[in-house]
Amino acid sequence: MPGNWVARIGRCVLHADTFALMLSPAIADVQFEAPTDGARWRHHYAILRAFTGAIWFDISGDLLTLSSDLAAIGVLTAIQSSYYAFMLVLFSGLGTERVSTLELDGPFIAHLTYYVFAICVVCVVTSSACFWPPRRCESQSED
Amino acid sequence: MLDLLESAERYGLELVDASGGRLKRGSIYVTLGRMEAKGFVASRQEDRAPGAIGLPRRLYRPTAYGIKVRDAYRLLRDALALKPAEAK
Repeated sequence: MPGNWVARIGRCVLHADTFALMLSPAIADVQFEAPTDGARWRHHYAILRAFTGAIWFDISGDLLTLSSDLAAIGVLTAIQSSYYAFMLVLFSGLGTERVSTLELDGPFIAHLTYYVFAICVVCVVTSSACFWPPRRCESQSED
Repeated sequence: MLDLLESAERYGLELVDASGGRLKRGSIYVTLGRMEAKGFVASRQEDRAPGAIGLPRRLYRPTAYGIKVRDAYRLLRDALALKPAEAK
């Protein structure tokens, strides 16, 4: 049946309610309609739009949910950033003696800023992932 | 959309057909899903014969709240609409 693989992916990446209300009806209507060559691409487009719309609906809802955990995410990010920044200094060969002789010129500050920014971005992502609402891949026999 | 649903329960594609091109099949399901999340419409899965294959289709109908919101929107739209005499 057309749309079965999209339904399987949808069950994994979408909330159950979102899947039932947004993606499942789109697939069901396409499966019900008699397939014709002219309507084939319109069917695929309808499912794709429903899927992207459902993903956007879920992500915006999840971000709102995450906003209630901002303090905890901030603390986790700070801990992770400090840890990885320390590890960066440790493995870059900058001992305490060399650090004290470094010239804090423009290029050095720029590089340092890039590294710290990259570390913070990665840490925000991983911290947010800890609080991201869970998804479940459910195997259902109806498709 | 609520006008189209008032007369009978409809599927998503039926709504697209009945709208005469005003509703697009690519966006109808997301819109209906959002409307259901806000309580404007209610839906149920179709009754299916045993052994039927594929996903069950979803039938939509307006809720009493949805009808009230639509009526209120109509009143507001009419109240805000400029009449030719007022537009001068």
